[in-house]
Amino acid sequence: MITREEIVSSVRDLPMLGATFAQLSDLDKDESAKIQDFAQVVETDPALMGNLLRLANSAGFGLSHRVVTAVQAISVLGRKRLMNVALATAFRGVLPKKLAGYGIDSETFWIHSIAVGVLSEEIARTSGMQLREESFVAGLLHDIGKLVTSTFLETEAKALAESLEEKSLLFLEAEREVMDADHCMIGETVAQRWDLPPCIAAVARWHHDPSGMESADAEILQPLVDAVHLADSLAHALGYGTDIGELSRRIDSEAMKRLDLSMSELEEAASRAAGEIEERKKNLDHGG
Amino acid sequence: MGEALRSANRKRKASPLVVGMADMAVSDNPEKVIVTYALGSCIALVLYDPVRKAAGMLHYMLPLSQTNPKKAKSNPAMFADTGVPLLFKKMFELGCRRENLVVKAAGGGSITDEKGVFNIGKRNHTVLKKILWKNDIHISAEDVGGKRSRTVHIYVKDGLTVVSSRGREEEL
Repeated sequence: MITREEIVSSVRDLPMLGATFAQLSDLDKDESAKIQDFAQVVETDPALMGNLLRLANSAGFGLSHRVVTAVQAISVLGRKRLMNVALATAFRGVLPKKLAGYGIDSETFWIHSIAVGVLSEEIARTSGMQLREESFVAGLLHDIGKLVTSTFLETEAKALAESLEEKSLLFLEAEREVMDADHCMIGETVAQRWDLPPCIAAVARWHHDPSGMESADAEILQPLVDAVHLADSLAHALGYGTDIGELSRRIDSEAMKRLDLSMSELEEAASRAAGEIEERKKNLDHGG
Repeated sequence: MGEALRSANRKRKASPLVVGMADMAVSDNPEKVIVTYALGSCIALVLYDPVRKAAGMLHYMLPLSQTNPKKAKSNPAMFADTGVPLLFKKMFELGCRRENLVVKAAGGGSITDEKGVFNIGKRNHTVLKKILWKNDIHISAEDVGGKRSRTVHIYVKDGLTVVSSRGREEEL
């Protein structure tokens, strides 16, 4: 039997998010930092530079002139969006080729991540909640725990399939049955290891069970965790990046109540997200 | 059955025509197999005219176009009530006849939901049945519901329709 300690200690073997993101995070904490300081860091990272320019020049910003420098791109996008793109690019850069334990390649994992990010953003917009600006990256990174648990599940694929198929367990229960932990518990540890904001750690930890959230900041974080839970459920229902767990999951409809959203509002969010998911995937094509 | 079908499929060597999410395709090219992947709550509607030897497939996401009329206009395949009539129209344009069409459906799965509100798959299926019933069209076979994700193939040559799910393949 795999123990939880074993998995938690292997989080240390996961690659870090890269020097560019670390440097930009430091600048982001420094109130006196100027656009030029950020631009200097961005210019050293071709993948991030490419993603920023593509986003700044995308139709959504409707600019009449072409953005060609890092300074221009950052002034168009703003600091918050810069940090989000930097995090997304760094995340893409550490994805392994395959998440064999979940029966998917990194492309499928990436599509699911982007879909949950965009759907979270659409749900956040519909509900008018706080932390809207965090919704895309929080959705994008909700499954970070899987980068670690995948390796452990790989050897347990048969037992996992049996738990799902014959015992009809939910995916999270099946994970716990074969490895004494689930990707949510481990996701929180990964978020801490990567020094990510508490809202991303909370989403990684509670996105399957938003009503179960225990946190001192629950009041502030609850809407974001709820939005990502609903986005993840929609993404799986609609088939964005289906993995071995398929539809073996449970919706917590209290999340809909707390955000005051009806099913038809969620469906509308899904219909709006459909084209945007493709668009975002194009704009974040390069991994750091 | 799964193994036999798999080897039969290999022998057929048809080239795939992929239908994405919120997408449709029709073909009368006997060397094609129309395929759509990873149907969760979405539904694939499959039509075949054995006389004209033509096949069509729609992969719709959501039941009703009133959810987002603007999207329905730019992409009618996203919704059952705009996509289903359009797929029939495309088949008629290929020279298919209504009385010959064999109608099949797969998908419409659901995640566990004690309150029964998060029911896209079920409503996708209900709306399909309503549209077909109103038009007096009969579904000859379907594989709908449950927690499985499905992939559907239809061979244009003879209309063989195969649903694959969790590593197993079954003829529909």
